This record gives sequence, C-alpha cells and structure tokens, in this order.
Amino acid sequence: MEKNQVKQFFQSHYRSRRSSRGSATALPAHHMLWLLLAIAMAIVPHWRNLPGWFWPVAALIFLWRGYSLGKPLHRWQVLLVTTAVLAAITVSAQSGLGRSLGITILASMAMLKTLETRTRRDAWVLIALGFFLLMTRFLYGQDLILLPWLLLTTLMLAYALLLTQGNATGSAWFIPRLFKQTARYLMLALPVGLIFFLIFPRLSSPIWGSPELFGQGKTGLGNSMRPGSIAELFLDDSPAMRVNFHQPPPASDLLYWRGPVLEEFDGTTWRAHDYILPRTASSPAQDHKTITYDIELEPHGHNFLPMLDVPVQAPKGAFLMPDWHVQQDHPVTRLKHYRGQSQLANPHSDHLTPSMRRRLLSLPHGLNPRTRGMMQRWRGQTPDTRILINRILQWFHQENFIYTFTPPPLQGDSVDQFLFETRAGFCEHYASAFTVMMRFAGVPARVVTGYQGGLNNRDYWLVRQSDAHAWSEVWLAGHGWLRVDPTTAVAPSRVASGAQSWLAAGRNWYDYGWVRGLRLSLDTWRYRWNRWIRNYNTQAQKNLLRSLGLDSANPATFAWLIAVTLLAGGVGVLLFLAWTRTSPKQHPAEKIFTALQKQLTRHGLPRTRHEGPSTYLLRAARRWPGLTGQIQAFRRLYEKHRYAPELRHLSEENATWKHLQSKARALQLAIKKEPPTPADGPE
Amino acid sequence: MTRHWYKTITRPFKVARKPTTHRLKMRLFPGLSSLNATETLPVSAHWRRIFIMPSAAGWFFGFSLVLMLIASLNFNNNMGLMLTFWMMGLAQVLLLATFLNLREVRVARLQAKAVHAGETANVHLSLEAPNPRPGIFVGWRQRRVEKNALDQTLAHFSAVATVLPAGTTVTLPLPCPQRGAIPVPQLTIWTRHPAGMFTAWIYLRPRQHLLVYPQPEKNAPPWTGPNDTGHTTWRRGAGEEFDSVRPYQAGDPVRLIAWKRSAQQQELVSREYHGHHRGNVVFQWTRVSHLPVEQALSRLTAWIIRAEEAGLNYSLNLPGFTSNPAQGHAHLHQCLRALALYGEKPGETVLSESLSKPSL
Repeated sequence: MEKNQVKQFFQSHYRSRRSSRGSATALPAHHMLWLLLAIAMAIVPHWRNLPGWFWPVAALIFLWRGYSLGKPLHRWQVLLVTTAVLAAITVSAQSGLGRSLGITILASMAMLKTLETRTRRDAWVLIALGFFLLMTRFLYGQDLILLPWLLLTTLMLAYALLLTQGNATGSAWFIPRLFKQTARYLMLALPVGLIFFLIFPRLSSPIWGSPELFGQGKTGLGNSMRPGSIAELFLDDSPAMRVNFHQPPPASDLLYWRGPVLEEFDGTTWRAHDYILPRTASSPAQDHKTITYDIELEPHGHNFLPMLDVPVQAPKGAFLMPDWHVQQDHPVTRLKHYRGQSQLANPHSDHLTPSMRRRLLSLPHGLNPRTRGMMQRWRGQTPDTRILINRILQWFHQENFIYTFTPPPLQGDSVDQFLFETRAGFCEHYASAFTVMMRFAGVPARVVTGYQGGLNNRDYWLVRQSDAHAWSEVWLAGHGWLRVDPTTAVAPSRVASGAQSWLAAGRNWYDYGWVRGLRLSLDTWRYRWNRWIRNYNTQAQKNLLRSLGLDSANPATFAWLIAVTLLAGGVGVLLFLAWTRTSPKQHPAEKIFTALQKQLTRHGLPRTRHEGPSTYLLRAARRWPGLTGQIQAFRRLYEKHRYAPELRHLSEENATWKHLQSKARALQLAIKKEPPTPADGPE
Repeated sequence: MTRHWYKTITRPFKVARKPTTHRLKMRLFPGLSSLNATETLPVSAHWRRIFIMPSAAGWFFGFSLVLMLIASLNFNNNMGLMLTFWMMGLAQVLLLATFLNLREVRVARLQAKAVHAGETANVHLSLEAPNPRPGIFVGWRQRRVEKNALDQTLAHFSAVATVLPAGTTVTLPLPCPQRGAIPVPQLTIWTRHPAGMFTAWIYLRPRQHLLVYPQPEKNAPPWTGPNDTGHTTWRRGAGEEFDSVRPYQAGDPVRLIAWKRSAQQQELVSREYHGHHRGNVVFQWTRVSHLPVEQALSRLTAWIIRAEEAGLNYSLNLPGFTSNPAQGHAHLHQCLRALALYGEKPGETVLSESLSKPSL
C-alpha cells in the first residue's frame, strides 16, 4: 500500500484522543455534589473578609449548581455572570482596597468555576483552588477553633479529589470505602507533614508585603473612647491576653492593665495625645516591689502593649511614653510575646510642663454648664483635692447611679445628661464624667483605658475583651498621679471580683455559667496551641535543632534533614501501603488451604495453573505415600467446607473450620518430617 | 513452557552480542524505553521498570503548593505551613499509592484473530494482579516525536479496566493496513489511580506478531484456470445437488448441514458430495504472476475465499508453498497464511500456532 493510502486509512479510523482518555467525559452527579460541598466549605471561613454582595450570589450559584448537578452553564452565560461579578468586585473594591480584595477575587474565581465545571480537569483545578482558599484563611487568623474546620475541609477536599480523579468504582452518593481510604492517606501524610513543619527552614522576617496586610480586623481597645465603646467589648469573651507572673500575683483588684491613655476630650470622644518622643529612662522607685510577668498578647491591630499599672521599663523593641503607656512602632498583627516589669503604685512625682497642664485641664468650650457650676461650687467648699475626690465618689455612691452595659444614649451635653438625667452608665461613662468633673475643678486629670482583673486559669491568667475597663488618673501636686476608679463607687464588685460577677442576668441568650466554663477550658487548649504550634518560629526551631545536636546555621543541615525525612517517610508509607493492601476476601477454608499450599510449594510441589485443589492434593498424596490417609482426610473435609457447608454438620467431629485448620497443621508438621518420593518428573 | 496462540506468530529472538553495560542495564531495568527489546509474555510490572511522573493535574497542584508555601513562609503563618506540608505529605503518599497500583500488574497473554489488510484487529490482553487494581489503562505507546501516521493514530487507542486477581481482559483496536506478520507495537500500561496526580507507566513490547491476510480483491474476475477434472469453471454455491447425506459429525461446516433432511429425520445430517463433477481447484501463482505482487495476492485471496464459501476442494501453489487439496477452516487459514507471508524469507519466520479456538 502506498504511504498516502496508509494515511487515509488511519484518518478514517481516527478517534478523538480526549474521548479515549476519559478526560472529557462529564463528571457524574454525585461527584459534582461532593465537589461543590468541599469548595463551599473552603469558602465559608472567609465570611468576615468577603463583601456583603458575595453571599447571596454565592448561595444562589451553589444552590443552582447543586440543583442542576449534571448541567453546567453555557459559555456565554458564564461570561455574563463573570462580568456581573467582576463589576461587583470593582465597585466593592473602591470602598476598601487591600487585603480582602485578593480573597474576594479568589473566592469569586472558585465560585464562577463551579458554573462551568463539567470534566475531571475542571474538578482538579477547582480542588487546587479550594486548598489555596483554605490556606489564605490562616493569613487572617490562626485561632484554635479554625483547626477542626481545617481538618474537616481538608478531608472533604481530599475526598472530592480521590472521587473525581481516581478510578474507584461505585455510583452510590456516598462511598464509605473511599472515604476511609482518603482518611487513611491523610493520616499517613501527617508524620511527614509534621516533621517538615518542625524542620523546614523558616524566614525570620517577611521578604515582601507588610504583615498588617493580613492583620486581624478584631475589635478591641483603641486610641479613642466614646460612650459605649467599652460596653461593646463587654459582650466579647474572646481572649485579649494571657499573663504568667514570676512572683505570686497581686490581688485581683490591683490588676489594672494599662492600655492607651486618653488626654484629649471633644465633648463626646476621648482621644490619646500623640506624643512624639518616648519617656527618657527612669529608675524604678526603691520602696515599691517590682513585679515581673510574661504576656502573650492576641493581635489587636494597634500599637500599644498593655502593661500592669505603672511600667518600670518598656519591653525590648517598645517604648515607654510620657503618659506611662507602652507602644511599639508597628501594629500588633500576630501573637505577641513580651516580658513586662511594673510597680503597683505611682512612685514618681512627674514634672508637669505648662503645655501638659494646659492640655490636661482643657475642656470643650461651653459644654456641660450644670456640671461646671456644681464643680465650681464644690471646689469652693472643699479646697483639698483628696477630699474633693472622696466627695465626688461619695456622691456617685449615694445618688441613684446605676452600673449597666446597656446605658441610654447621650447627646449634646453628654456629661450633664449622664450626671443629672440618665444616671446609668458603664465604666467609660463614670471615668469620663469623673475626669471632666476634676478638670472643671481645676485638677489635671485624664482617662486611662485598659483591662481590669483577669481570671486565674491554673497555669496562667486569662484577660478577656470583656475585662476591658476605663478609669481616671488625677494629678496631685507634690504627690504625682493618683489612680481613681469611679466605677468602684457604683459597683464595687466589678473590680473586686471580675467583670461578670455583678451580673444577675446573662448578657445574651447563650450567657450561662457552663458556657463560660466551656469557653474557659477551650482557652486552656488555645493557650497550649499558641504556645506550641502558633508561636513556633525560627528561634524555637533553632532551639529544637540544638537540642538534637544539630547546627541550624548550616544550610546543609536542613538539606540533610529534608532528604532524610522524605526518604524515611517514603519508605514508611510504602511499607505500610504495601502491607495493608486490601486483598479480596478469602473463604476461611481457602485461607487454610493457601497456607498448606505454600508449605507444599516449599517442599518442591508447586500447584500448576490448571490444577484445582482436589487434583493438587491427590498429586501431593502420590508424592508423600506415607501421608496419603491424612491428605485424603483433609481433602474430603476441605471440599465439604468449601462446597457443601450445609453438610459439614453431619459429621459432628468436623463441624467447624477449626477442625480443618488442626488437620492442616498436623499435615504441615508431618510433611516436614516425612521424606517425599523422588520427584515424579514434570507434570 | 511457551504458549502459542491462535494466529499469532512467534519469531525467534536474535540478540546480537551487546556491550556488557547494555546487558547490565537490561538486567537491572528491563523494558525501559531506550531498550526496545521484545519480551515473551507473561511480563509483570516489576518496580524497576515503572516510570512515574506528575500528571498535568499534579504539576498544577505542585505549583499551588509552592505558592502556598511562599505565602506561609513569608508571614511565618504556622497553620498555613502546616496545611502546606500536610498536602506535600499527601502528595508523597499519593505518589507511592499510584506506584503500588501498577506494581505487579501482569500482562499474561496477548491474543488476536487474524484479519485482512485494511481491517482493524482486536488485540485482547489478559491482565492479572494479586489484588484488585482500578484504573489500569492500556494503550499503544505514544511517542513525543511521532514518526509516521501509524504512530500518530495508535496513540489514540486506549482501554481502561479494573484488573482483578482472577484476570481481566481488555481489548485494544489495532488498525492493520498491510498484510504480513505485523509485530505487535510497543504498549504502554499506565495508571493514575487513586488521585490523578501522578502517572505511573511501563513500556512493553511483546515478542509476538499479528497475522494479517491480504485484502481480498473486490470484484475479482472469476477463476478461469483448469481443475483436475478438466472443467475450466466452477459453480458458485453448494446448491441442492448433493449426492448423499450422512449423520452430522463434529467439525462439519454449518453450511453443509442439510436442514430440510435433518428436520425430516429428527437428527442432524450433513450433505456429502462426491468429487466426480466438482473436482479440485488448483490456484496457481503463475496465473496471476503478471500482476503486481500485492494485487496478485489480493486476487488469490478472493478466489480462495470464494472456493471455501462454495464448499469446493482447493489447493494453492505459490513459489515455495504447495498445499494439498482440501477444504475447511484450517485449510483456509493455512492458505491465507501462506499468502500473508508471501515474500518473507523462509528462515526468518517460524510459524508456530495452535488451531484451537482462543479461549476468550
């Protein structure tokens, strides 16, 4: 045949490569369902970082796709939806360009990809996207409660992977065998993953991007305070920080954790003064005990580091500011560990500069006339500042003031309204009102925000967001700063025994004692998690390698460790997989026969391919004439067990397959001793 | 013990003395792509001959893992790192699982019925494994640089099956454009099970040939040569003019059964012809030797098939081949094989085949 003819012949026999390779065939409906579920699970943890329009759109798309499992959209329809989503992203990006934009784009990609997903190839693209999405969630936060979700979603994604990419048989909606196999593979992958986690070389500082790009957008104390801002925090039981005291801890009512100090007031909002220079080094007072403690601070997105009442010096890398609060030069966006040293009373007689004094006495002009009038009157009656303070606290205590976390809103002359009309407020109302009163009386005063108290959770003290507090500091000439907490005059138990203690009713529907207990024990685990996993870094790695006697400065160490891990892990996994291979289920009698057959093979009598068990055993009987009786007995019993199980009960001594086994064992022993006749040639 | 299968041919395997390193390579890594040696079946997928590489999906996953690693490392994000390393561990497990899925898969037999040139042969491969192996693909080897139309087209044929311990047969179509003893092309046996991330494969070139008969000529002129009774033509069709009947014997062609008579006698009877007026047709090469070789063979093939269909006794005379006058399936095959192998050097091809029907 001519070459052209051959070519023509082949062209007529041509079949599409894609159809023969199976990559273009559509996924069955149950594959699609699990795929959708896994992808949805990878998107859900991003609920806080995605814009509002995303959720209805995603719900619609996933529900529609789940409803019409087999049918993807046409190309132009996908294009239409994509354009709409792109427009929505562009519009929402204008409001807040930055960190959530990337996530929005990624999640939208995954969402839109489901619309046209049809083949195996689409499925693996989608699953890889799912893993990536899952990983980006951790850039926002690495709390312990994410862990179960990580495990579950990983399992689902891996199941979808094996389901859509493998060739496992089964058309059931759920294939338990495959699910078990997925879980097994993930378990097998864990040791190598963990060792890599420990030994893989880390970066000590980011190469690109600022960490705050992915900082946690958590609410917490800020550099300003308006009425209600701390009451909001009171509802939040999430941890703010954890403290380890080196000495026996002070009494709970002395634990004032200093956060931002607020000196500027505009009538509603207190703001921190922007000090440019830190305080120059000062020596601690000799007559007060210095307390040392370690703090693990949850990321809060601001620069300040809470310290116990009066810091002696700032931790490494941070500065002690003139108002005694400590801050660093970048926001706290990841778990921060530092050691603090503090004293419980103010040891210093600070010098007050004229500008500072002016600031600490300034009030918005013309506001709160009633308060001003009252304070001018009182100041005339009690010239001694200490007595004046006591009189005010007394007044708070005796008048009908209420401590509540749901105070009525205030407008205009907020302090007048609070002091003479509503008389119901949270700590920030009292601290604010008290400070304003002192300034009207001509005494320099300021508001300090921070946390008060804490909970002794066995090996550490837990300070929660709900422990957020505000109090006042008053300047006494010749003495220095004096802490005054007006809240104690209204609700003494708040400070004496913790934020929650004065509550009679719960803050919300799930606020019960046992829920709080559960959260507390969860926090213990969270603490350990933070300590061992979340805080693992270059330093911890260095320590670990040193304890193993390895040099972490040498790149070759890492290369060797990685190579050894891969090799050892690979060999381990290989052996495990090879040994635990699922073999087809054997009949118990067959198992016994197989063992016997092995023994016979070892003694030079392999079973040929065409031989049934019976013929084979007869041949064995010819080979070992001395054992003929025994072999024949075994053969009869074997056939009875294998082919007529209902008959084996007829002879009572041979009722169970254990009899068969004992016969086989006896036979195996006998074969060892009995010499065979010379081999009777090839069969 | 060697197995010979219906209408497949085993040629003697001549290995020229190769350098020692080559022989060492053969021993250590049998069936690697660079070694194009043919092998006698059965051949098992020994671990030393298994190749494994990431598939397109695998490369994509690897790429996204690297991205995940860079992002996690940059921000020292421990949970991200944990997920990344876990997935890397999973990739390793899947690599080994894919490898183990192919290991010990055995190609036990290869069988194919002979076809005429221009037809597509169905090549049946019997696969075995010690335990069930899903997603085992079998296909003709796909070359990166596809040499000719044959290579290009062969790459498009593949079959997939779950290989069971009891044995599984997969069928691969093989277009056969030319007559002769066609060596079985190189096979690729591959798998992506369980996760499609990796492709594990082996190459295999079974030491077997497919027999491809010449294409019967369409509209061939009727045979005009003499037969040994002096008639110059023969009539088509067995007709009703048979001489006698005898009881059916196993092996009688179906078309010889006298159905009407069988119905009357309540047992199967076969027609019997006596040779006096039907004679023996002798197909001679000299009659067609004026034609081009392939066309001549084609014409002879057409004549032989007609004669067989007509139930005649016939014999074939080719240079170097002479058959006895006979009829029947075996005789037909013998003659067609002679035509198929016309021109092959006689010493080179050893035909050894069994006429028993393939046990498929």
